[in-house]
Amino acid sequence: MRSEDAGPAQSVNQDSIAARVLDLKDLRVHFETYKGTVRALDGVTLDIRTGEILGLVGETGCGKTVTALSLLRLLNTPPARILSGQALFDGKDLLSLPPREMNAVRGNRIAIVFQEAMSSLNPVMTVGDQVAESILLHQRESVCDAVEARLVEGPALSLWGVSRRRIFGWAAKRYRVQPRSLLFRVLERVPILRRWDTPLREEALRRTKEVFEKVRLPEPEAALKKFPHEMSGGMQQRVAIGMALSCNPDLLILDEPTTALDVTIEAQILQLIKGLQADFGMSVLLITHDLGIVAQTCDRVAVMYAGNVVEVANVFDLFRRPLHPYTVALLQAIVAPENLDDLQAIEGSVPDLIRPPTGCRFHPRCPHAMDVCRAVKPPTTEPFPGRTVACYLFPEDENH
Amino acid sequence: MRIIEHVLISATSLTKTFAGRERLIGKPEDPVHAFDSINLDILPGETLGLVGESGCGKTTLGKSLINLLPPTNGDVFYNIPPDALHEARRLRADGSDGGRLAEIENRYSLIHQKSRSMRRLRKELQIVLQDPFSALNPRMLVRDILAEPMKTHAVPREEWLNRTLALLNRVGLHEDHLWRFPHEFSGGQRQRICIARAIALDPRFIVLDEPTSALDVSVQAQILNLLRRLRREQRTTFLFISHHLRVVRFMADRIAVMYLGKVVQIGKTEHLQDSPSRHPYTEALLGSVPEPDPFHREPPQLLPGELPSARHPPSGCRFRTRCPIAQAMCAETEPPLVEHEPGHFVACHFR
Repeated sequence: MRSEDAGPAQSVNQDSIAARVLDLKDLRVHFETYKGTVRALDGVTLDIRTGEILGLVGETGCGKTVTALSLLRLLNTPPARILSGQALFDGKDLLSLPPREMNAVRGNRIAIVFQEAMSSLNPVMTVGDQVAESILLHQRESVCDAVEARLVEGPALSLWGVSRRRIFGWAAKRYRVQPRSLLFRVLERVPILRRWDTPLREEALRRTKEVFEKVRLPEPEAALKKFPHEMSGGMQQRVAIGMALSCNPDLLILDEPTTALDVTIEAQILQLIKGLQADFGMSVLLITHDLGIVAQTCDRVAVMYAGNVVEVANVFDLFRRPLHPYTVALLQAIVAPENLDDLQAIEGSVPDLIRPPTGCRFHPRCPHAMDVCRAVKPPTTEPFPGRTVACYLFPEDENH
Repeated sequence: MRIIEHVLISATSLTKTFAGRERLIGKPEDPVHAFDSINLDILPGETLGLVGESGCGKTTLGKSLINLLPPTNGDVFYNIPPDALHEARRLRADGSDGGRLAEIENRYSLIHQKSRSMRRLRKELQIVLQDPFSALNPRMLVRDILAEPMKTHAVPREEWLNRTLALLNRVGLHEDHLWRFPHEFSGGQRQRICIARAIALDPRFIVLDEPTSALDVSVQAQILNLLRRLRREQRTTFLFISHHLRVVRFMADRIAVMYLGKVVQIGKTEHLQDSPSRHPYTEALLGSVPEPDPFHREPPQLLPGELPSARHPPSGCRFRTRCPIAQAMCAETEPPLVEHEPGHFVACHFR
């Protein structure tokens, strides 16, 4: 199902995306508001490689979350408007995919965990049912297969006629092929027949329990029947991560997964994420504003400022020798308790994106600003192999 | 050792319990123990850091120390000579409620002040709240916000404008900011306004309740620098509450670590990291802060489980349910705060 329906998306040179899960090019997103047009993303270019943890760092309002949401096409349009851009995933451009195909990608192959688990979980459903629902929706075929295989083995006839097992098995088989057929739409509406999918739900709940064991929820069996408000923030975040992982996504987006949690719980969740990434081998896009988390967790880092990716580098290179003046300032602003002097704060504040500065958006706060910075936006260059930076201080290296 | 003339703020077996809700049928809910028999001395000119996870009672303690929340039990003394403090503590411990204790309480205790004299003291005790978005009245101009403390404490009207201008200058804002409303400012600027309001009457003691946790990294650095400058210039005493251990270590002279309503360790900042006698909770806190250095990747020290409910705190040592070195006796007896080195107290049976 996955690779067949290539749909109308354009074909791409396979070599260039061989090691990449996702290739985001020149993404421009604006928001129309009463105050004016917010130029939220100004040409974001980013690639996520297979099996890596990419950190996306930046301050509040720099466009980290908007980048993630526009990838999954979760932004409301209007007010949002995607002006340009391409997000190549598996040879297809996510931004121009028809809605039905996008639904097959969203949650199934690219999953997201939001900052506040409490508000991303449904308060009137037990967490078990919620995760089971998403499994049933995205993994319908394999769930139906499993149910059918289990039920068909039973006797064909019972005392009362055709065996119930057979009927349920047959329904699962039909549902696998045509979930939206007239039959199931009718069954859905007739109260006593609504229970036709009980075996499917049981199978999905069984898988949910396995997922809960993977995210190390204590007492997974009991957790299935709990409502979100009965769990602590850390437990809720585990459920949200479990839900995202339930369909074995190729790319997992974590949008500030630990910001609402305490340090000791944060350490637990980060450890869990690292462990799961190693087990499942998926790629992770970790959005955060905490450079400590980046240093401890990520393989590569992309630094964002006011709607631009200003620097992308390996985590070791970035901390050893940051290139872009904003990255330098950000690293200097980290509180070091051993430091008795005052901190080197970045003067000024984040610009208003309705009227962003001309040229390089960082120039009003930049200690190295030149005339050219005020006039023209700096192109992204690759001064060292594998490192990109958008700053005039680092012209392209001619040697490679 | 330096001879201390006065202890600025002193909590003596301070306890706060919030009563549970009444139910229509049956018993009311169990009370929540926000904090329990806290003893804490803050000396003039020092910054005491208060760290702990959310829900451990640090904000409630901060508010009780300046009598914004009346405690259930115990006392807060303000500007008390050490010998009077020792006497008061001894008298309390003996249970003798003689005239001497009442005399000390009437003179030094914030809790026993009459409302009129408490109001006079209020101008020496200020607080900066966590969320600068909800701490400012959206319908008041910055000018009015800053002039309000002066109005309350009878500063002559002619001085208001000059003093507000000086205040704005001190926190790094401009004159034209006077005529704006809070919603026109960014988070960092609002926090500057909150700080300006708190220092408007030159207080002696300011409770800073997570002043930077709502702010971004670069703005956080600006605010921390501002607070350190104020401390240098004014010798103001701070109680710096935060869950962020790095920030507290940067700001504080001494640090108190709280867990579920109890101070489990208190001592000089440098001892927190280096001292061999540390509370296991402090160790776990230090071990779970992610270091911003990819060259030192260490698996964090994980604490199992989560903070227990403050309605039903565990018996004995409250940390024992998550403690890696807990033993049978921890469930029975509560460890007292024991002085391991001068000025360094730890509440653990095994440290």
